[in-house]
Amino acid sequence: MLDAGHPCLEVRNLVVEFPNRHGTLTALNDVSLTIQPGEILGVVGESGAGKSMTGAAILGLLERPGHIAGGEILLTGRRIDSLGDREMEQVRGREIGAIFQDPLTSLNPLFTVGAQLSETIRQHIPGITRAQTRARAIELLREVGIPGPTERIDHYPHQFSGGMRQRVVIALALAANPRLIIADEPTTALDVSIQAQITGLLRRLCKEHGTAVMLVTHDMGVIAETADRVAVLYAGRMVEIGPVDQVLKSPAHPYTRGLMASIPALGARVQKLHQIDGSMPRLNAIPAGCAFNPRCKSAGRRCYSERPDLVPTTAREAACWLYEGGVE
Amino acid sequence: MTATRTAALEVVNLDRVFDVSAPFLNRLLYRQGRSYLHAVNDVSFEVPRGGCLSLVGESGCGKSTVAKLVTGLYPPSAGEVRFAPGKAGVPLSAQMIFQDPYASLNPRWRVRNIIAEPLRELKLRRNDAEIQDRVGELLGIVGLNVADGDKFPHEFSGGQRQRISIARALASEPEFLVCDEPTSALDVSVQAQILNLMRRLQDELGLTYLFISHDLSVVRHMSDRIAVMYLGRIVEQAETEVLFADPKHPYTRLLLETIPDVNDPNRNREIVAGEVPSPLAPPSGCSFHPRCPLAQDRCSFERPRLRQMPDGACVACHFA
Repeated sequence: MLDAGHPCLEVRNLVVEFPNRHGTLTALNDVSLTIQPGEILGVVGESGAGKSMTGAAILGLLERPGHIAGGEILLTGRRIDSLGDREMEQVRGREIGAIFQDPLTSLNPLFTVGAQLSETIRQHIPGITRAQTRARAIELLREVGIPGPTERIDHYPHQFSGGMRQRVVIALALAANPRLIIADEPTTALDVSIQAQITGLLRRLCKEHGTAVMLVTHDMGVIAETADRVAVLYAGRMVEIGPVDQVLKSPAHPYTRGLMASIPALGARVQKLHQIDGSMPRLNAIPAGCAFNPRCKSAGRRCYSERPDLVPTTAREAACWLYEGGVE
Repeated sequence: MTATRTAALEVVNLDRVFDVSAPFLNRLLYRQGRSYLHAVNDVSFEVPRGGCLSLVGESGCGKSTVAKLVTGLYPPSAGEVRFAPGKAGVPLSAQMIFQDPYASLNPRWRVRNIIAEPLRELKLRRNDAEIQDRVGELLGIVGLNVADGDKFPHEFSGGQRQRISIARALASEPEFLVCDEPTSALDVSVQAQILNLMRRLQDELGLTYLFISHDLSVVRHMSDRIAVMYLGRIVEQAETEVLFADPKHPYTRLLLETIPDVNDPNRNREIVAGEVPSPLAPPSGCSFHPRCPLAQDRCSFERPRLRQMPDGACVACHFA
């Protein structure tokens, strides 16, 4: 960790809104998080909880009419949420790298892998010669574990398998030595045996380069084995954040508790899985008070009227009235 | 194979070959031969009545093709699919639940009509009133309201849509359900609801499942017996507890070792190198030998046969 004082990424009270003709949908509501250099923060939640939205907001890639309606995003102490499009282009790629779910759609099928890497390298390292660019591209491919990089550099994306393609995407994200990598479901499209290779690679790169990683995924297993800390999102709000072993082993928020209990265990077989009844509310119908109240077994009167804030409970934070003055 | 229970489904030496050749003119111009994809190769298994057999494996191993062969959506190239006679004396009828509840329901139909279609098509009820009664009953069985029948699929969440698919599959009162990755598109908290529903229905209606999944923790929860597939072949088949306690094929061991376990994370696991080879050009001999830690010369030219072990497991490996 750097002692300069600034975390690599700091998100404060981020609010993302989507205005439409029926009103305004709040896709992210008051989300705050920090990532230190060399740290992997896992962001989990169900589909629609806002985990990919958090990544898109940081990258400045929110789809219109979505926009940041409040809060700030700081990259090593510098505000990036108020930058213009041109300036943001410089930040993306050079300071923040991105890895998306489907490696086939993140690569251009008409250009060789080498051409795509070279473009990114030249874009972000001005004055670099052609030969240096190629050498750097080969070095990047070697670093992400692609065998025979000197030949593979002239191949097209379709000549690579799914796992190898995702490695190329990681090489692209690393091209300009960014401080932060946002990996949005990087292993979801891959088979389990390949998945382990990719998460292992991410962890190694993170430790070697001191890059901070925000790992967005719905797979708790991946989080358990890759992340240092984990943030749990529910209906656009953060319900719990803390060190991964604490949050997964002894979850504090009733939602996290239910989520962990509903995962079928590999160790032993049970007759009936624990289930959380109902489903996550849609963004246009988030209940008043705590968004989890219709599905919560410990909900009290207070949960239906007042919204809980994140409060520290032993080294992690949870947004639940159980930890702040009771539910009544 | 359990001697006490009769088999509901017997699959014997099933083969399926797809012709994936380039179009005729391309073959002529570039002097290419035809190419074939052997998606399912000599697959045999039995599903005991009232039980659940799971097929697991990575993408491209042929598990979904087996599901389609069993339900008759593809004709087999060789081999046989035999359903045992059911309650009425005629062979069991099979129904299928698909992976993607967003793609498998017609967005322009009301849920009521989606569920009623098999009843109308197979003429299982005499008039519309009886059909609507049955639809209401089915919605109740899967935990939805009768009023939900008037809605369209887009008004439901993924989990509720999968409930609709299950109701539709149950409409014709099948005794056999083929479930192709029924929970892969769902979130974990909803996955548990669907798995619990499927287990309850199995007990209440005496259903037999052929369950297809790549998620071993889900498979462990659902099945009595597991068959592991690799490149179109079954490499190991065993009772669930035997398979998890003592995996014998190196590929099964690889699968079990690589699944991230929430309760017992292993951050320093050894990462297995290699990838699944293309099914268009499977390796000679044992198709797993290029990735296998135990591989020897013999494996590259001699294909191991499935052998029965003392504990009932069947393994295709020279060194098991």
